[in-house]
Amino acid sequence: MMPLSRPGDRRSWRHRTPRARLLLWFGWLALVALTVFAWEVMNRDTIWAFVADAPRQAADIGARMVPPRWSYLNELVWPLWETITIATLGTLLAVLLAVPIAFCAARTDPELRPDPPAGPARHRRLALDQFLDLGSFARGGGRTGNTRRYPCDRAALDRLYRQAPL
Amino acid sequence: MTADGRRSWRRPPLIADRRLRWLIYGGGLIYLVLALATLEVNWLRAWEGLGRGWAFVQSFLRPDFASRGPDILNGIIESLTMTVTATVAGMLVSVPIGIGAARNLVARPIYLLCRGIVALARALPEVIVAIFFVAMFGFGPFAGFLTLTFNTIGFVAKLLAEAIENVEHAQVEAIRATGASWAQLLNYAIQPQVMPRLIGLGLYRLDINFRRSAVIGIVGAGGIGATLETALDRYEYDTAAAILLVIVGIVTLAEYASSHLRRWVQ
Repeated sequence: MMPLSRPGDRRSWRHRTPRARLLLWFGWLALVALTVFAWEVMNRDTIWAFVADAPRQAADIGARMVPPRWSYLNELVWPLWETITIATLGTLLAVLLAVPIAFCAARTDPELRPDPPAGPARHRRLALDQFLDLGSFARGGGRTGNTRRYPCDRAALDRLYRQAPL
Repeated sequence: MTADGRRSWRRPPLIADRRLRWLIYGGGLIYLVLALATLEVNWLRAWEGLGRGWAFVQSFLRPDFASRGPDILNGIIESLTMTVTATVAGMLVSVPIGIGAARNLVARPIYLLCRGIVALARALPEVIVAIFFVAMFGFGPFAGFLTLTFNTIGFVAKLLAEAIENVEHAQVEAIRATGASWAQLLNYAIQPQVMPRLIGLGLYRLDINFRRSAVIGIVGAGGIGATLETALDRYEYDTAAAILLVIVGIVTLAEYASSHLRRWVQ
């Protein structure tokens, strides 16, 4: 929209029509009202004394963290290896599973039209986060992390791969 | 290659050097074997887990929305309020940091400072940040709100800075040629170009923050995650299934709504 208006005898350019500006203004007003309402509801049970005490708590945590205890590094080697293993194997498994699903969910090629369940299945996986998946599997050990890793990676990979130009 | 008198084409290898190629393949294979060998799989435990997994799947067929209905409702409301406030607050803080982190707009010290903030906000996963904030501010949605705000800053400021760095230079030059100040340049040359992207990012982050609010609730930062954790700990899989279905429903709705809104805005 580029309407011209004439305040006095000068021509001036406006990006939006008066109606669009009014709509935009109400949009922002609604957002502010929603935020204020959400803030009120969210903080109904907030104990403000704890909030006021937060700087002291932060200083305490900071003081305990400095200097870092480097002697602990030896104990981190194994968990670090486990983390890398989980990440690598999880990604590998996710890629193996994502590629065929992505081909089924791609709309580009008429030969690869999505099956009816492909769409909802994708959304279900995207909606569940890693921690939620973690809760539904057995707890503890490297395998848990690996099992947890692949569904979300798969959803993300599906999505990226599906949207890539074929 | 010639076979039976016919010429055929063979795809060139990704790594031209034969020795280097086999060295990388061999190294990768050794790493995979080591990784699989060190993976401590308790097959008995995994077998038992299958039964529990099946019980969980079955519970999805009869989700219990009623028993813990008020708890689920409160959790969802808490998550939604945390999501809205954290997204708005995060966006407000992200804009100046994003502008400061754009190389083509500010002096180098400001750029480095803002990039440092972005890097810090992106480096720390929300669960770690949530644990810190819960320790500082106590249990509840306020800690969750701060966590989501902190992570929103890292996400939005980085992408906004990149959007600003990629703006059409001709428009910037045109506004500059009029003798515009830095603030006018920002308002007339940069803002119109990045605003649709910023709104799109805000809507996308709203969607992400809702999902994350369910995660950080598990460590005590309020929201539906706490309700879900309680249900799982009590083996109330039917209630957990109800919570997950509600989350899936809201996220799917948010995804479709935000994609429509983004298309409308852009």
